[in-house]
Amino acid sequence: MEEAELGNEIVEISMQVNGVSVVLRTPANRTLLSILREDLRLTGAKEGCGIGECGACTVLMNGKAVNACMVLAPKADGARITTIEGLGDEARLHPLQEAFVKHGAVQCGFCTPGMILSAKALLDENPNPTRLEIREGISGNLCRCTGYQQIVDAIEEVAARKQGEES
Amino acid sequence: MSYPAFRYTAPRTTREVVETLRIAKEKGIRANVLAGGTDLMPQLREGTTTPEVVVDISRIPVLKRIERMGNEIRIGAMVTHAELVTSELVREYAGVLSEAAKMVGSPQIRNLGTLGGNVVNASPAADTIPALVILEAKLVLKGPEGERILSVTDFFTAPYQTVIEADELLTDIVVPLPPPSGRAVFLKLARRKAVAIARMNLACMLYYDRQKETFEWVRLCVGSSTPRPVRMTEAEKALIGKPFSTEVLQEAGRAAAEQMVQLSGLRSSTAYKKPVVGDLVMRAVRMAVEKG
Amino acid sequence: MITNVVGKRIQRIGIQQKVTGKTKFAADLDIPGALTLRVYRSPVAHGIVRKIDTKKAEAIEGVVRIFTAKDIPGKNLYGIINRDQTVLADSKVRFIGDPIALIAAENEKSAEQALKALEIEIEELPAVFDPLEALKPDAPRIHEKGNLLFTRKIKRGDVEKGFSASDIILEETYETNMLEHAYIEPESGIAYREKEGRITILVTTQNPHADQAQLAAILGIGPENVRVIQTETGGGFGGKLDMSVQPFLALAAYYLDRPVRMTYSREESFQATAKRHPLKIRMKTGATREGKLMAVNAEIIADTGAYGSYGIAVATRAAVHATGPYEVPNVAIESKAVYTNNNWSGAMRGFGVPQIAVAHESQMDKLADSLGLDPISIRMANAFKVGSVTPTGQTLRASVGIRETLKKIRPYYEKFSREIQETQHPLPQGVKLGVGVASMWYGIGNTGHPNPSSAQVEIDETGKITLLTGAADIGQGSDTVLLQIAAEVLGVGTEEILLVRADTGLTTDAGATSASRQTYISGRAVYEAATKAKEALLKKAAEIFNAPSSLIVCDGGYFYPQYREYQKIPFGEVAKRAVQADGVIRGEGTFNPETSSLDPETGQGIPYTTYAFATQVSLVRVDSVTGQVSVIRAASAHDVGKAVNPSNVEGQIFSGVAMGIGMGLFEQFFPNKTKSFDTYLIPTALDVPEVTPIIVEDPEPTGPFGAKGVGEPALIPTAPAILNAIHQATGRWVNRLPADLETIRGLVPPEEK
Repeated sequence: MEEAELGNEIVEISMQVNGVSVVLRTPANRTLLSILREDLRLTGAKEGCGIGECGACTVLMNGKAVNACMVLAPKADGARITTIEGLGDEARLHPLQEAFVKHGAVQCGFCTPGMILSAKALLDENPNPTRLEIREGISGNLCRCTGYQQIVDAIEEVAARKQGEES
Repeated sequence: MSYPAFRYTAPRTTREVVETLRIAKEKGIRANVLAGGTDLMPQLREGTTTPEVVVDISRIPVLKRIERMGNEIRIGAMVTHAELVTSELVREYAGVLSEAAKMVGSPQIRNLGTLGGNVVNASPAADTIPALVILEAKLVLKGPEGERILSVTDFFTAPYQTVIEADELLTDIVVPLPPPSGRAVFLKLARRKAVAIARMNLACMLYYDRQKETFEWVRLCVGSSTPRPVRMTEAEKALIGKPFSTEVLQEAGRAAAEQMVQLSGLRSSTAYKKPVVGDLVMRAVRMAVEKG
Repeated sequence: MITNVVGKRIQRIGIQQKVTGKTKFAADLDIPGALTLRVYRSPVAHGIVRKIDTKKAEAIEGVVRIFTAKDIPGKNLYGIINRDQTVLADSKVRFIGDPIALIAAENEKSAEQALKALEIEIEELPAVFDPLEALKPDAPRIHEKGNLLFTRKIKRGDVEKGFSASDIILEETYETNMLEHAYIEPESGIAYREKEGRITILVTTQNPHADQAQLAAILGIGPENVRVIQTETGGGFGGKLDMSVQPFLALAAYYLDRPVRMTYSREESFQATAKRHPLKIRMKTGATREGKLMAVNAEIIADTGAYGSYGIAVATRAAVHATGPYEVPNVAIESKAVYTNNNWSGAMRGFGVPQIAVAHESQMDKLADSLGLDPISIRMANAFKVGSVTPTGQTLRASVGIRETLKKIRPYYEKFSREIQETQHPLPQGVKLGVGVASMWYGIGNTGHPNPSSAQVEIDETGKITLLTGAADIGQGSDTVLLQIAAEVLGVGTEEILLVRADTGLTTDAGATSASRQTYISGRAVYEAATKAKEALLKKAAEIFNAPSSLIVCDGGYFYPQYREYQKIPFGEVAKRAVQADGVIRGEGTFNPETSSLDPETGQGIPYTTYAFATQVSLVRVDSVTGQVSVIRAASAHDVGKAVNPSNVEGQIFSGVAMGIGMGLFEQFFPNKTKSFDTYLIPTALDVPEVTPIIVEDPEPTGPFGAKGVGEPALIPTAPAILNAIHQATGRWVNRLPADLETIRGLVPPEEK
């Protein structure tokens, strides 16, 4: 009885990843990022630092942007996870992906998946952000290549388009 | 990079958490409570924390509530910084806490990191703590013998050190509703505008009576400047009963700077922090008064 | 010149894969059964390895093999310019992080246990961390030849006479910060031995062909037995010019019958790779009352840390560019690269020029301030023009756009200045605004050394066009630019050309992706290759139309005789007939811009064929109470010769401003203290202002369609423009980077706050 309360080294996790149900058994001492990259081969989320500072591993957990490296794997049990692979593909790009392409908001592309997911989380919560609010929304995603301006342009355009559709 | 192996459990009630912690303590097993994970995860990676058992408290609904109960707001330990930013209740009655939470890390970190985690981690640079101090918040700790409630200022003993026992769980942060006359300001000073540890942060709430032209009451706390969070009582005294004037502000600034040095001793950062703490206190008080 | 593809905002090649997360970086590659590699690194800054006992570590389950220096089959000495670095320490370790042993294991956990179980004894030696200390005769000797790696001298005219003829002389010292490149992708690669024995390495790199040559020497085998394939690279900024994981991967693959993989953690990336050289600069500048520069004398000391890497190039570039883009008749510069036991410094975006620009641009504003001139006027009075002679005695023949960049920036300088005057709201106490200007010049390509590139354009019987280039696109966009150049020449769209890039097994050497050289040098090689391929087709088309090939038009995917477009024949048809007659068409292109080596005593010579120029203006807000500085707005004008892809050029400008803000205000790497992104802060989106990019096109005759380069120039003027703006705001000069909270707080006395 007492031992059981101290838990197990191996845990079972079931989650919805990009709309697909996934059940797996894994040692508990892993991150959501390593589950996504190594077990599910969803390599769009990157490890840039492993300590929640760079945002390259950003995914949506229950609709909110989180650093997948900061989420202990069993914490994701029961969660809905969206990675960049779940957003759109080349045949049908998500409007944000389309706008990033159009504005040249990508250079090396390593930060791009996380950046797009942060942008999505931002627009889901605040469909009409100012440029400053956009900058705040992506402030947890470091990019060393672009200087951010074309990224802000891209996100602003999607926001404006959404606004147009609604009014 | 792999993390050391540990056992994991995610109890459904605070009672179970406490029971697990009690058993671990009894057996001499290192157990760590996992809240948002934004402090624990980097420690696991660095190897500075090596738990044998990790107790995840994210599956306990009661820890996620924000409720008004009479003259208090009760905030569960698992309420995230993002929720503090958006909560109507917190914004209306404890706006300074909302402001402080907005300054924490990045959007991603605010979605994970919790108020309880920020408090228990006890970093001297934590953004929410100065806000809790001036709100005169109380902490509810649940242990095998039951609950104890203590003032937030009595909780911390030194940087990253608190009075919490290994078998205790911080369940709630209780914020008494501040007088509606109070005007609050939160300032954060860091090397970068986001995802940055505070070089200094400051929470201030006061009531300036314009008729009487005096500060009626003042609460002031400066983070990242003293070994444990305290009210800047000397600066508060320098203001109370005095009119809003440059001389009075300067006196308050001086008092704050002296109190900081008295508590922290002379350190390599003192050359910077001593004058800044004084000026920042002046700035914050002025901003609070200007809020009307 | 009317162009259809060059000069257009063509979509970046591969961007669809990047936005959908499909792009595979090295760490994303799936390679079943690969072993994991980890390195044991020196915990001391200077010492002699006395004992390595691997027994206990080898006994750990999952450990396959542990390598030490004695396992290196070829030369255990490498380095991109001077060879002074060991793959695994053979006796000495010279900085905290120097590799000593390499572990190959079945998994990460076993490798980590083995790291802890290795028994290594190091006899610690006295260490030296300051380059001035390191130059003293009794300093600990880090390398056998002594601690002075290199001295570059530049002498022109007579500086003493120049100072005598000056009305004003300013002598100042400057110090710049040690910086980390902080690309977001940490180093990573995989390697395996092919059936035929060749070692193949897929790795994130800026320098595949140089990697190949260096790895072959380390393994003691011919370069044909090593194949380096550049994987998609997540930024470089010079930090992926030196080898990182490559030698470890190659060594393990050489011995083991298993594929191997290695990815640095962020912490290891910070510890084990190059940094930006911190510079100590003493600069004395003389000018006439009118602001005309008469003499510049400078001494430069660059801390190259434990190893040379690109130290020689950095010392040289800092010297060559020390005057700034201005005519100075009398120049005497001495620039030294010095070993210390710090992390080694290497190439980082600009090779010493961003550092020296802090000095020359501060000097310009100090002169302007003393003489009552405005910052643009004093620069205009001295700026190079066609016919100007540089400090190395080179006469600039063409493409000298510095004056145009100054002209383009003046309206922004005035606008920002007006905004300060018109600021309505009272600023919080202690907050001040200022505008700052800085200019720069930057030689494209390696300094005074040949730096050839090569490329091929192949056309098969179906009309399929393939461009082969060894140039590594590290995110800056060379793939797109090179395709645009080839497409323009061939009169087709970029999507009609297949690109094969940066694979030593398939492509020829294009030189490193460094020194802002790929658009200019590899671009010209591609231009030549495409032109030759086109000539073969024109010849065939001439036959078909029975007209001289000089009258055949190649455009829009068709060939036709001039004025007879109705007779047009598709590109593929002409290609098919040409290939049927003569075999696959292969256009070979090479380009090696004219340079000459610099005289060792006087530095006279031709370091580069062409230079990029720029001017930037920044509006900054200085909070003298807290010490916080923020850049509110910036405009940056860059003479790039020709913008092959304006979106890419603008992307570089935005990027340069962002990186320069970090350099100017808060980035600083402390050896053995800075571990990761929690303490090494690079600008977030909130730290970067809205930037107005201005493209100036003063064509370079030797460049493809007139193009030069912009990658490094984009960064260079940023930090000095910020420092000059801080001066305008506060009346105080900052001579030391970064202009951090403490510096700015201490700058302004309390009574002025």
